[in-house]
Amino acid sequence: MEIIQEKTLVQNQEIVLETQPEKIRYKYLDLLKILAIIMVVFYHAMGGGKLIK
Amino acid sequence: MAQKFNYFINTFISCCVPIFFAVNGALLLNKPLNLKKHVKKTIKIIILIYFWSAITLLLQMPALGKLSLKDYFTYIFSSLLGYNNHLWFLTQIVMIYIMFPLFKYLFDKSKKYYFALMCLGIFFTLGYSIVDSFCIITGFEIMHIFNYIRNTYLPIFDSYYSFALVYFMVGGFIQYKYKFIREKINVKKLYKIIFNISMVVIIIGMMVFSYFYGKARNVGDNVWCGYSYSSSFIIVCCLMLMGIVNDNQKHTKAISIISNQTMGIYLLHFFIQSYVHLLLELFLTPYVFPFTGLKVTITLILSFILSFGINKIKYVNQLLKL
Repeated sequence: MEIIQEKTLVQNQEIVLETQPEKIRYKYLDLLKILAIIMVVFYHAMGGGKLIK
Repeated sequence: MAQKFNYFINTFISCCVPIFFAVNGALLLNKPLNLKKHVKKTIKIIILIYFWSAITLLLQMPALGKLSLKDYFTYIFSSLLGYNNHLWFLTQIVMIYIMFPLFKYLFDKSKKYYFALMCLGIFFTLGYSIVDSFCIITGFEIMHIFNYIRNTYLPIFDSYYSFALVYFMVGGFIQYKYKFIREKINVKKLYKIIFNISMVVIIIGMMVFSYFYGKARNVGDNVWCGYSYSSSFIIVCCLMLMGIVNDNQKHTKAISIISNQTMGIYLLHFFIQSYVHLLLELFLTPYVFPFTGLKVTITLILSFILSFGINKIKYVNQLLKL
């Protein structure tokens, strides 16, 4: 009985480990996105990129 | 001196859109591919491009002046006027998404071949500016060999926008090495290397700039042109590495909320800034510091509020989501 419970526990842990990478949200990627959008707005506010054809 | 300072600032800013491509690659390449969902997403982006092109042009009519209905519809499908030019980013995302299943297959199947292809991509797109500058300064005529190899054997990197794909690939690869970078890389050593690289890049950049400026040649818009420069590539890589070594994964709610609005801000800020410009022009002289600072701040805040509001409305929020 104990062995079966352990196995189920291990299986459950494996499932958690497999699904984890999709759920993780990386803070540094969010920060990079924020930095990038500030730079884009700054660039366009300076008049850049408008007259390029 | 002011010119050189502007050059320095613009060189740094030129990593803005490449960061978006790299982040996209980091997120997409490191999660399983659902082909059906991916195709739907790609079609949705194509529709969004034309939708936002039409809206952006419509809302900028006061700045555009008189425009016939025929011209209006013509300009929706082109960026000739420059008033919907920012959407080039989405067109490149579509191009990458069309090829994405192939790259994802390679990424999952063999990291070695993926890495090799990525390095070739870096050399033949982002390395172009280094080779070109080298040829101009030294007088060596090897660009035709460089171009021949690229055009014949690697036509995928033979386009002005090829850099987008390369940043996407690099972002995916750096994210894949997340654990390795956090565990193996010494933070102090990394900063030392980044500092040294930055100094070398700045010095070489200044020399190239001085050369062109001295010859009275047009240096041009080095944000727009800088997307495919080696300097932008180095900045993006350094920012990603610095982000990874300092990433504590403890998310603050504010960062998540602001980060969720980046696509919305990107799509909305272009016409919002036109109105902010018109308003500020009544009180301040355009393109001097207080004007630009206020314009950026007000545009960012208004775009954020509008994007946040739209994202709260069911179904309509799909217009701001990729």
